[in-house]
Amino acid sequence: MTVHNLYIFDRNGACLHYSEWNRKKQAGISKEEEYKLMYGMLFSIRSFISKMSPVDMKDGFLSFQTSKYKLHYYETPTGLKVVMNTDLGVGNIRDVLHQIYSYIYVEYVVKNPLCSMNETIQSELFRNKLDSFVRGLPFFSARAG
Amino acid sequence: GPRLAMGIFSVFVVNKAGGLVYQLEHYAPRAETEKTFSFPLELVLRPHDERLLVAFGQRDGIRVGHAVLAINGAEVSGRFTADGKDVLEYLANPAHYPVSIRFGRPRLSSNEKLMLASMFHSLFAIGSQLSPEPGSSGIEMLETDTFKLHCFQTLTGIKFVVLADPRQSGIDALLRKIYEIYSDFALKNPFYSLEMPIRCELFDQNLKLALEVAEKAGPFGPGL
Repeated sequence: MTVHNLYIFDRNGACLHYSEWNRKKQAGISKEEEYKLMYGMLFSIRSFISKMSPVDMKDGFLSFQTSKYKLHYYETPTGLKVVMNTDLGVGNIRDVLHQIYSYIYVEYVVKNPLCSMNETIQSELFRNKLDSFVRGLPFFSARAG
Repeated sequence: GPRLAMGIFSVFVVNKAGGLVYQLEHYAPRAETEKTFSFPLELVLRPHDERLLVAFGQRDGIRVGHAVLAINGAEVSGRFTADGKDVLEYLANPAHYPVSIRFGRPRLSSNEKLMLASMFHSLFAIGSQLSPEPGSSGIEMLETDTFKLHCFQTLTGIKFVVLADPRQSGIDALLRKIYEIYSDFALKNPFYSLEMPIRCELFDQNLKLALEVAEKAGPFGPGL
């Protein structure tokens, strides 16, 4: 099992953070363009499913998968979005995405008065804590073969 | 929950240009609420896409996003009452109270279905472009808390999309069965032109049959 990469967006679509661990293919566009494309896709998915759903939703969009990867999505009521791409073997990791929000984003960004909201997170501490948290996940390591 | 909510909600067939060529509503759980209100209304209603939706205030089963469906038992048409009055103006007049209003999730219009189909067409492509792994397909399965969307794209680029209860199993087999039915009854119909909407009774009948068979497989797979 493996974790490919992780995006954090704010409620206006700005990419606050991007990390990459095991990514074999790049999108073929600049990172700035990629963030916009990713956010646009997520925004459209939210609107798409809210119309498609036959009944009222609570959590809304949870994940999607293709033949090669699975995208996990978690959104807080304040509009912060945590997006993690993993391989297909990873099940529901809603709690993990919530932990990234509450133990790492809130602790090292929201509680840091020098971190300004709504722009790329510069904090070295946040970066390191996030990296070691993700590396410690049971599904992080890439399985040989 | 304890409620047995399983089944297949709907089927979409999208051509390789993103056009919707077939759509079937199989099972739509309806939850409509009727309630008598006195003046002033304790819900905030706002017009949206030719409908009047609840923008704020949830009570007695009425939820944000629900549309006004009927007033005093008479169905509304969009934002207007059965006799052509503007619903918002009608509800702003205290003389019309008490008033009974029926709310429910808005049904998709044919135009909205076309729009959603082409929207999925692009989402499918972007999902493949943003893949961190090479050689990825587009979105094959999309999961929400109320439904799962399953998509099978043929080599010729036609997409079969099934919306089902998250617990419904056997959808992969169903998608391939639908492809087979499409090949047998739509493609072999001499009156069918490729990429155009499918209007073919045999396709309809066989598709409905396949959905019923798939639903009998139960929520946790074939019980064999």
